[in-house]
Amino acid sequence: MAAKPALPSWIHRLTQPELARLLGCDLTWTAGAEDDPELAVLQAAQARLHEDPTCERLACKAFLRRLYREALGSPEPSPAVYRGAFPEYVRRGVECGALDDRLLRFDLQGLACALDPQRDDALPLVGLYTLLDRYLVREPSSRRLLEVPQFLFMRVGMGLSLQEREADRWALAFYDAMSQLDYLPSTPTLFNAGTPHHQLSSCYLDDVSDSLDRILQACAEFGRVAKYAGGLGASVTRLRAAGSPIRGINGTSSGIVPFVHLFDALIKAISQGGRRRGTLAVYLEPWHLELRAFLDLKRNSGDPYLRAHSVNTALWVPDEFLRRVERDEPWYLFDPLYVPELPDLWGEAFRVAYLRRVEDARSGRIPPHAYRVEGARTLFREILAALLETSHPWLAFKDATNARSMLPGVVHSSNLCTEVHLPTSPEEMAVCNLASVNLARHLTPGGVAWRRLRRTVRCAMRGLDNVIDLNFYPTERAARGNLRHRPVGLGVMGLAEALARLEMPYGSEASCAFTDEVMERISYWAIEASCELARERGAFPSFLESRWARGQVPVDTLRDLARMRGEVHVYSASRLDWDALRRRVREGMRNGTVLAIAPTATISLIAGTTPGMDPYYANVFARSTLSGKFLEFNRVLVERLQALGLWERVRGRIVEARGDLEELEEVPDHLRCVHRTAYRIAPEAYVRLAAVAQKWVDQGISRNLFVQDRSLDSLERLYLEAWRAGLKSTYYLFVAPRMYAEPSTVRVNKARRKLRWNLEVPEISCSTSCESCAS
Amino acid sequence: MRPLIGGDPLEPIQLFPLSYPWAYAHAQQGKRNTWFPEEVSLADDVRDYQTRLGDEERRAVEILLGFFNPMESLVTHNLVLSVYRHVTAPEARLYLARQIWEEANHTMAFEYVLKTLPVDRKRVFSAHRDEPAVQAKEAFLVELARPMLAPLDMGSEGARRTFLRNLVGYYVILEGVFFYGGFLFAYTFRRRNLLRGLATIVDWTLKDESLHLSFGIHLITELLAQDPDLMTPQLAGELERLILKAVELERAYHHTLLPRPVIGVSAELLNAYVEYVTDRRLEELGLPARFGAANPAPWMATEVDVPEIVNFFEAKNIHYEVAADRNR
Repeated sequence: MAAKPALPSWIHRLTQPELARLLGCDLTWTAGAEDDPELAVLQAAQARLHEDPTCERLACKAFLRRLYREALGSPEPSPAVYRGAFPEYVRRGVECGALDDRLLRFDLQGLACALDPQRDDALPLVGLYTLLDRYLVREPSSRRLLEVPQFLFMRVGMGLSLQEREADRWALAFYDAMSQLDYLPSTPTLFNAGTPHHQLSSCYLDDVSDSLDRILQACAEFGRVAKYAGGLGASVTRLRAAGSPIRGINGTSSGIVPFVHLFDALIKAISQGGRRRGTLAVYLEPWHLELRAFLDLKRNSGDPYLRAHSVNTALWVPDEFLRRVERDEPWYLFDPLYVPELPDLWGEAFRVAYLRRVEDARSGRIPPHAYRVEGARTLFREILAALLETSHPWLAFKDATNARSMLPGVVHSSNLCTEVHLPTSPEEMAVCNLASVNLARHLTPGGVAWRRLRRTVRCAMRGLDNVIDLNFYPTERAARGNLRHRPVGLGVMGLAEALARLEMPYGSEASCAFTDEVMERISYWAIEASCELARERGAFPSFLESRWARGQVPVDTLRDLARMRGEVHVYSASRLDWDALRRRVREGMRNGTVLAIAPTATISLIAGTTPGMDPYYANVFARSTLSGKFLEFNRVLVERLQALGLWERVRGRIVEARGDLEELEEVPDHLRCVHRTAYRIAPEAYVRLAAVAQKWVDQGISRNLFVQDRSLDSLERLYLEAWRAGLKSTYYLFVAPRMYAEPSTVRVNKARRKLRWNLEVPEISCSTSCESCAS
Repeated sequence: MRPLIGGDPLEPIQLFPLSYPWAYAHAQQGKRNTWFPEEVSLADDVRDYQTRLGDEERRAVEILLGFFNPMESLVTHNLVLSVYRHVTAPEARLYLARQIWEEANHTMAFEYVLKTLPVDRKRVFSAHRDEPAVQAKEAFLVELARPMLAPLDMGSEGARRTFLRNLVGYYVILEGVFFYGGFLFAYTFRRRNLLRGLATIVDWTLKDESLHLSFGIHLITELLAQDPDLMTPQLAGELERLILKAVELERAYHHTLLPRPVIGVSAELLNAYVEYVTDRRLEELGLPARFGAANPAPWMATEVDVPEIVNFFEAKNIHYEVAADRNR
């Protein structure tokens, strides 16, 4: 079966049987592709990815041949042909309305010469599928493909440079960094930069006011944001509870659920042209009287009118709640109509106001229908049970966010992915542009290529700042907020890959120290870059009201949080000369915020690395996206095993073990230790790593958590630890499944090996062929 | 130790203490796997169906849908009229009740699909009457259920053999062979990023079927363990012939389904897959493999075998379980 993937330049000339022989496959594998040899190669090579990851290169080649044929008219364009097609692509793109006509002002010949077609070969298969399916620009009416990958990177580079004085130079710099996958801007920027629809921002945050007019206005605004590929986070805490009086009509309110349901329908209606789905996360503070109904929104049973399958739910948790959970004290739930000040308060002020309201309730100043008393811990466990079953609501921490916020105003929620933490108000919707540095592309054999990393950070920061002025804002309130604070969010991806390459187990001491140092430097350089941009272009308008003006940097705010809480579970060492930077910060920052670590679920696929700060899910796994279901091997592990000459022997067993090396004794201990699967890593490790990164990050981190132990006790410990460690938020909770479908390619029964179903009831683990049950 | 089969079918009974903990474990896991078809959006599938599938492909999908629902109904008939009557251990009956619910859920799920997709409903509804290959499969299964309707005394060896044939026919052949070819066919579309909603429903159904099959094999092997004389060489030969006959029916069905290959799948590929799966089932019953076939669809590793992580805003995550054990 071990066909050596050969140079594919001549594959298209092979007959089907020759091809089958070459690929070591059966003719049935290429069914339906009799007249399309490249499709046949693609199918056959892709079918074997789990046996031989080198098939990926072959599949990519076949894929690119098809792509080139469609876009450039030839399956094997020479570099000269590839480059030569670029100016024509821009002209045609502008003509048919797919590209911004300002692109014509660039030195198209000069930029074309800089294109490096070979960089297409560095893109992974899943990245190619993703690009073709959703990112590459097509002719609007015929849907004919206009772009090849290097054109896309150049188009985005040009789109980001439209207002640069030295536009060609900057377009090249952005192109160079992106096309080498050193960093990538967020999906909306990749979609839309250089096109006439230049909505380039990922994240919008809003706070819905408690009046029907404002709710309907929010619907209009949300719809527009979703249409242009922005994801939304919105607080619904202010909405009065069910049964609350409505004066105008002498009636009562139906509460938050019908309105969330309305947002749900709205967001479903807007599919962003099939390239991305409309997305919204609604945030609620856990003192809201309708907390329980909110927890049920994502359940898969019950009255469908009281459910919301498309929106995501999250809680905006004040410290007071968790302190009461810790002490197992009562928790008062209120109708916001009677406690309208609470959404705007945090920290000590919140605590004082909350206690006053508790007193009001006890003494009858709040009517009985407008509050309820529960055990804080009981409620918390209900929240965790909902998380376990539906992965919602996500928990984000209101006080940590506000205590560490650099900007004036109150942060009322996070965003769709829990990494953006910006203030909102009736006048302002918050907006954030994101980009992520690919850490895996900045390694030297023993460490990090710091100078290259600094260069990337500076380049990415400039691109992010440019977006603010180039961006098309779907609503006026968004434009106002973004232009006043100019926030951006630079993040990272490929952390797990970097750790694997440096042989540091994810979550180990070494990995924490590494993350600490990397994030410190990125924070330093990003702030430095923003200072320099301020010198060139001026400070952001609300600068004087921000903490930056007082010479504070994100790591300083950690002390404020510690002061407020008594302590924060994270050590606070630093390496760089922050005092020097504080002096520069005082003189002006271009951006109200600089860092946020996004999940990078899609751009990490294009970059071919691990998403955000996530671990490898397993050493072999499948990822389901809008573009399909794709098999991924941990490439670092494969390389290591190949170097040891072990790969051929263990690859089948790795698939059999569902990517888990724990019991594969053929694999050396140190590899098994470095390459643990997400569920084998202690859940606390996720909190620890996020906590050291959060030290340096002024916004937040999308922190996915992975657990095997589904007991509420251990979840309670985990989430309380996340809070104590100063995290601003958590994101999805992944829970190890207890049962899998019967595998297809794995010879489970013949070996009479136990299927790994964790059927844990009375002592006996059962399966189709377990030794203890079968005769 | 309470009898697995042949007890008083009407006797009121306590669940505990358990004699067959494996049966109880299956019931527990079944409960956790609860899902509902409405959780899956088929909006993209409708688009695929209208604009991205060829005529041949649409026709094949319609035959597949036309086959699944009547088959699911046969499974339910058999569970209620045959299996539940004779299996009397309460924990096994607990699982059977659960399985019956799941079969009904599958029926509703495929109903949901075919009422949502713009399929040729007439073709779907009449496929099992108009297509001889589908008809033949149904007749084959009906004949395995019919003897069970007669009064049978499980005290008699003949009755137990009849029952065994029935269990093999339904758990191993229908749920373990016939359905598996259908699943593979549905996944060939997901490989091309088509009909992903349908594939998600199939993911869930496959998970359920895996548990049904596991229960069936446990039941059969337990019966044989308690009754070692039951399996005579003659009966083994008979079961083998039954299974091989099913493979023949499957080949004819595949030819009806796909007279010509479509991208990624052909009748030959489906035949080879069914042979591969059949070998596995034969060995599970302690019979020798007959085909020695390799898995012709190694890409099923991606679809089924390796753990899946879902980009949440882009696809349905099917891996959350209900009925979390709250009090622990």
